[in-house]
Amino acid sequence: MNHPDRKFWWALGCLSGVYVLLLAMLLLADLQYASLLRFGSLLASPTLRYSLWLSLISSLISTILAMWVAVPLGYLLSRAHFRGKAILDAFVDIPIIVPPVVIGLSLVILFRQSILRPVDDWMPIAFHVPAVVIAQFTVVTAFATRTMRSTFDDLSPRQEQVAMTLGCSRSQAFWAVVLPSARTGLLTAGTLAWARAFGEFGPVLMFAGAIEQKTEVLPVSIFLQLSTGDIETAVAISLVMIFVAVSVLLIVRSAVGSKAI
Amino acid sequence: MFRYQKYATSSLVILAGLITALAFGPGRGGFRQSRGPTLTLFCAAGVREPIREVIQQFEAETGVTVETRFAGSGVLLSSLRLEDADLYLAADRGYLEQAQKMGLTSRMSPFARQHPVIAVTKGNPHHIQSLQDLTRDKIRVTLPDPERAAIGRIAKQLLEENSLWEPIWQHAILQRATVNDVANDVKLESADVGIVWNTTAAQYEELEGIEVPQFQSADSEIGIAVLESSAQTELAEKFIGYLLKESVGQTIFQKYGYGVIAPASSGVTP
Repeated sequence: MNHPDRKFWWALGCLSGVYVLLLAMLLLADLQYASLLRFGSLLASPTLRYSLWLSLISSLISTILAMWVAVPLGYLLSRAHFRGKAILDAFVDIPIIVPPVVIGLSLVILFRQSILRPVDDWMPIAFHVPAVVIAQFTVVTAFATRTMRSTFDDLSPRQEQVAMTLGCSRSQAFWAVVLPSARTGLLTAGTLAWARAFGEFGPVLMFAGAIEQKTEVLPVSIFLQLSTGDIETAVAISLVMIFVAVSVLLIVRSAVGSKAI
Repeated sequence: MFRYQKYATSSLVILAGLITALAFGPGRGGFRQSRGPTLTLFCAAGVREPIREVIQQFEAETGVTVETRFAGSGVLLSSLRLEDADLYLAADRGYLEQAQKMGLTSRMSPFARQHPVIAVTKGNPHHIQSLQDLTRDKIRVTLPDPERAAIGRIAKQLLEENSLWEPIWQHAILQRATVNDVANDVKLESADVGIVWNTTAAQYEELEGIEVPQFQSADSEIGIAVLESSAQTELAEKFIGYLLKESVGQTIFQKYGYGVIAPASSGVTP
């Protein structure tokens, strides 16, 4: 490494270091505040164990559902040309633009005061477990779609065109050529969607309520602990969330990094 | 079949597995939920600890499940305009009266009381003795917002009687939506003093509640009401009876520092 380059890397390192240091200090401060004794009693509590289980399962479900929508929608927005595309493009961004709590409130109104009321009366959704998934799905799909769209935008359409010239149908080209080249984008969209769903709070609180052992996901548990002044437990739950989320992201990324997918 | 088609197919299999796990897993959300009667209680988050104890005993004795939604009394009041529930427990009588005005309920039962105190960290390091001390230089004050929190409304009313509201409000560095936000400020030392309920101060190990004469006689009543939207009023009344019972609800609330209102004097007021 020659001299001017070293300076460049040093500058990068310093600027990045500020942020990494901030995160590290946040984590350390949390650890110091939460006192380790709490983790034992926390993990023994059935309420928390249920919240963790519900958070994991519901976020996985909404991620899979979100990807099933985000991939086709992102591809459509990237490759297809149709009237009103600009409007659709902006429309899909609504969940990114509005505050999350607005999504929750709108879901409540849709299911309880509007056209979906008969459905909800027949099969309870609002303030039941499915509401957790729907709330997460609604928000997370927008983020995954945005990511998939820019992934497809960055891929040159040439490859698909070549595949089709060689006799592939549009669908065959999509499965055999486009998706494998979009591998990194798929991974980013999936992990982003999952992480977002795992931590989603506002819409879940509004649409699913905070019902103990039923619709209480971890972010809601944190909110409830704060509302009774138990900051230590709230911080301890946050640390459990951080640990779980970081482990999942590391495992997924290393599995994909090793080209297993 | 292309590799990515296989991935897509397996994602559907995983999805089915996860949904099954959710439907038949632990908790009250799945298909295995109790088929017995269930009461829905909208409950002020501040009384979460004592009410949980009451519910545990009630469920064990009667076999009835009580599903509780916790949030601020005001937030719950707006939710009640959108959904049905059986019971509404509010941290202040004012919210129940509002609910009556909105036609959500016709009766209410006050069952416990609390009053404002000055919250400081244990040991009172800044030597706060009176409300006048809240206007002292270098004392950082956090206050409940009178527009949003019951405690704020009451504190404002009482302080205005003593012409102290304006100076203290102007001096405050933080204005909070709930009483626990105020208490958390003092606990985290974001502020030196705050105004909270005596019961809030008692629930926080790190805090001390300073009693002042202006606040002591100003009781706020915590009450519960059966909602008009309830389809099981008898069962809901049964829960209220349990809550008002001296040996159960009253004992538990007393343990948490609440003043109790004898059922005879509270009764069911029209």
